[in-house]
Amino acid sequence: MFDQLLNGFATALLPLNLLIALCGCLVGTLIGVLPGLGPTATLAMLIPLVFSMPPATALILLTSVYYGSMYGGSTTSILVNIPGESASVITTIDGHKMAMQGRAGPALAVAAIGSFIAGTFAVLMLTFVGAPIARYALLFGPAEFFALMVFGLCTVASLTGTNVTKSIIATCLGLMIATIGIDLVSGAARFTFGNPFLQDGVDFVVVAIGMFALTEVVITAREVHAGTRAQIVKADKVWISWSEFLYSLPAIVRGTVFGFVIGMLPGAGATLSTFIAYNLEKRLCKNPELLGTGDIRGVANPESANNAASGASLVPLLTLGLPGGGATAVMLGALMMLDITPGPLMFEKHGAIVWTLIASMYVGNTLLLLLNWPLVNVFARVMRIPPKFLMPTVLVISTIGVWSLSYSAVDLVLTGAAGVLGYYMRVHKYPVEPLILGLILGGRLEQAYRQALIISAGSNMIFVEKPISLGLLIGAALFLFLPMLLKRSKQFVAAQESAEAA
Amino acid sequence: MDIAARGLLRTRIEGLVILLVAGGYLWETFNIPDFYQLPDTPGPKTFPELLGLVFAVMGLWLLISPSDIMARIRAKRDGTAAAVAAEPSAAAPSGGLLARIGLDWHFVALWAVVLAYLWFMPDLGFPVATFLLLVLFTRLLGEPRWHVLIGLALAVTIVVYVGFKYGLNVRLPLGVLEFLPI
Amino acid sequence: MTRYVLILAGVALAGPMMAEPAAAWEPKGQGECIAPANPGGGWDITCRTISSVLQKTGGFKGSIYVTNMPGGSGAVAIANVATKRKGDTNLIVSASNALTFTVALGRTPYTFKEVMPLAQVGAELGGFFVTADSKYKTLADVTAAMKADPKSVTFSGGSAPGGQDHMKVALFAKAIGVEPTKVVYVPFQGGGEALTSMLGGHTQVAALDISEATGQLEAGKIRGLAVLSDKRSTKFPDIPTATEQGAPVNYVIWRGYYMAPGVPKEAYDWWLETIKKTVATPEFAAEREKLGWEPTTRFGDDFVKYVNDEAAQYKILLKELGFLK
Repeated sequence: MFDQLLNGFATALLPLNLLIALCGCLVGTLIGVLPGLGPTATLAMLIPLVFSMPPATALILLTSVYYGSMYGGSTTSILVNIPGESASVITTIDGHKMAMQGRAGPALAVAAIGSFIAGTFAVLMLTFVGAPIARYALLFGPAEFFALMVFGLCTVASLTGTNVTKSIIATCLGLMIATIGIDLVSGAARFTFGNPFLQDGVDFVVVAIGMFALTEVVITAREVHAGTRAQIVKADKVWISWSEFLYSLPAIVRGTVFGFVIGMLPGAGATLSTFIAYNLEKRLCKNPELLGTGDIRGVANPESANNAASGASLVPLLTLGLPGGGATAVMLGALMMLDITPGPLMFEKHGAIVWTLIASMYVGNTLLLLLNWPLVNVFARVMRIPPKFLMPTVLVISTIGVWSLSYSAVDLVLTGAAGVLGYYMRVHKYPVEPLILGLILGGRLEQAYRQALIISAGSNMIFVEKPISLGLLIGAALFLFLPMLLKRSKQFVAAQESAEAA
Repeated sequence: MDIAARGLLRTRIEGLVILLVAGGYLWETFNIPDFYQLPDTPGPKTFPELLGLVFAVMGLWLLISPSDIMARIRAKRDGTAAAVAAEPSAAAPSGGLLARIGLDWHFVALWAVVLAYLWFMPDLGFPVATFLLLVLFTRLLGEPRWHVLIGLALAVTIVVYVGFKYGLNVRLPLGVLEFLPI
Repeated sequence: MTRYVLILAGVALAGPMMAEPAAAWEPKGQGECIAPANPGGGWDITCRTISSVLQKTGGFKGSIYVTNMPGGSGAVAIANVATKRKGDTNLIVSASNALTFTVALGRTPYTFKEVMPLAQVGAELGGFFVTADSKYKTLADVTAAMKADPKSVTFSGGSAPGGQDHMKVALFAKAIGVEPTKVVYVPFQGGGEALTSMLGGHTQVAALDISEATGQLEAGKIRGLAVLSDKRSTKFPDIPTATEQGAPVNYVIWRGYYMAPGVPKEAYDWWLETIKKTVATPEFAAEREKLGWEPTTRFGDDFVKYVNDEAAQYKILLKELGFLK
């Protein structure tokens, strides 16, 4: 195995391949920065190049682009409060506040470092213990998935730590938006009002651009107009300091572990892992009241989680031949183009290429970190552009992100509606994040629920009979009600005050 | 009307709106077609019905606002009316009716420009709509110099159009500029 | 800059392999193949295969990328294509009997008449699969268990109830004299998910197409109980047919493509010719071999008539089985 891994490295480290990987990371990051254009769009664009390259080079290009665009998504979260993709929604909470405090550099840097640590951890796990731990992914059937998603939603319901009612309302609204379109189980059209444009549902990007981008642009405009726009503190340093790194290291480690564990379940995805990791972080770390106020750990944790999760989703694909969501769809496409049918025998039949892929994941991770050293500097300068020039451009680019989804005017109208609603929610302190998570999970949640009930012949007992599912549901209940029980504890009062002040 | 009372009123209106949305949503579940499904298992209606009910309950909760009422009673008893103000809009703006609910010409203009852009972009075409948006929005953001406005809007429009169309293969509508051989 | 150079390199490499120009019309820019399911399922494979072969043989000069558009057993994709992609000359969508079921059940307001069926490029056999250590050793074991209690066996499949994979189960139930509507069938988004659930022991028997099971079969992780055909599969001749085991079910799955409505005739003809030629190439034969597809093809008008007839037949069948009133 080591021979093969070393051979893989020998291929990945060829000068041409290194150069390609570097370009891939750069292009991926730059495109990933554009809201609405994520890894999938980027890779679709690059597929023509793949055929003109040797298989190993092609894989290296695809992995590095993928890593780059995943990272790029967090950049806009931090700089302009608009998540570049769903896995970076949580990053906006602390990331943008950091940027406003003049710490865009450290925020971007910690995202890069966290991504590097988490990504490398995921590949290490894949390399050494991939096959044994991959069996764990199979433990999750419909009932367990349902419980996991309920758990995810409940952690978010207490996300803000202020008003559970508002969180539940937002979550519920997100789930309701998710039911629009053709039912994935039966094929029945729901809430489409006969409009064919609504049949494939409301995309996450449509709502997220409305609620984050439009809202942010208008709020900034209001603040500029009223003269209340907080002056961005002049950045004193661009890269992260050693003490900041040590401070965020526990958050990175926890994010990495939770991200990996959740990301390995086929279909659970990087987004869910960021939400769960961030909320667990809030319960586990020291001084949780600082999270949400521009704390560097609030960037380190979800960014590590999403990178670990996307790396982890490759574990079942490569070891068991089971495709999940996210990264696997992309890698699966790449492998199939190179005539590799995914399956449990992939390592035996196509060892050389699979090991090159793994080696290129190490290389991609490292290059991304090296590349970001100078890039952070460039991106952090975006904060110096006066909002009156930056914001209109952000608005235009965000609109293109929505338009490019399916070239539909209906999507644009929905974005506008989401923007107005998002503005109201933000002004009156309804949290937006639970709505987004509800929208993302809604379809799968309902599907898992119905599948579980088909298996159990309609009995809800299936959710408590299965130990994993029972454990997760108990955890969910604790998350929802523990804050109420803890209300008297000093720590919680402090957290509440800081959250409201923010 | 003091601040706390206005916050309470707003919570009630929110509750009412949520209740109405939930009602409409539940009503619409009747229009979901029935397909074959295994007996005793939830169909395409079950989940929406559940969601609609939860949403309606939440709306009702806000409409009644038991926690607010409790807080008001407590506040009256303690004589600290300020404690209630913490939750909803803390700082109420003064001025006319429009200003008090947060509407002034600038606010309306901002949203009008943004929503009009989203509405008219597909028909008007990307270049024209974007140019107009950039000029108007930057103006609303307080840039008074027209030559800067127009120059910048033109530059951004062209760079973005070319970049997305040729660099990223995004199909952007030309709209009224359809006749141009681009 | 680097990208530009690479594109040039790509063109230079692809150059010698290009087929001679067939018609006056040529597609410009990128091509797209919509797979109306998640990655790993049959529709996804159908798309990825053709796009890979078309690009390797130079049949399509630009690039073709695959878009996954899961939902409603093809209903989401056909609605999208029929409404939003009218006249898109660079788009093909993968399809199979599964879509015919969606149409026959009336799950979508669109039928094969609203889109342009293009070609069938292969056929494959469906089958029942269990984990290697399953208690069901042969199809007879399943039959016995189901006769004792129809609800004792849980099947998983990649289509909605009443769709393609469910139909395998229903036809089998009918053949052994069990009420088809009583059988427990759990729908998943595509064969990949159905297989994962079976491997995890959450469901017991997966009703899949051979190509979806190939990887796991070769690794010995799963066993084929039966193929649903008169004759055994050419790729896995060890799996007995259902007919041999006393359940006469003959159910062959076609794999093909349709195009968006309103595509000009010359573009449609270009695709027809291109696919016809591509299917005859050794590259495609190799793919077909690897996937375990049978070499059955239909093109153009033949294919259009075939799918429309099929939709009508399925409607009758679904009524017989009790899935359609």
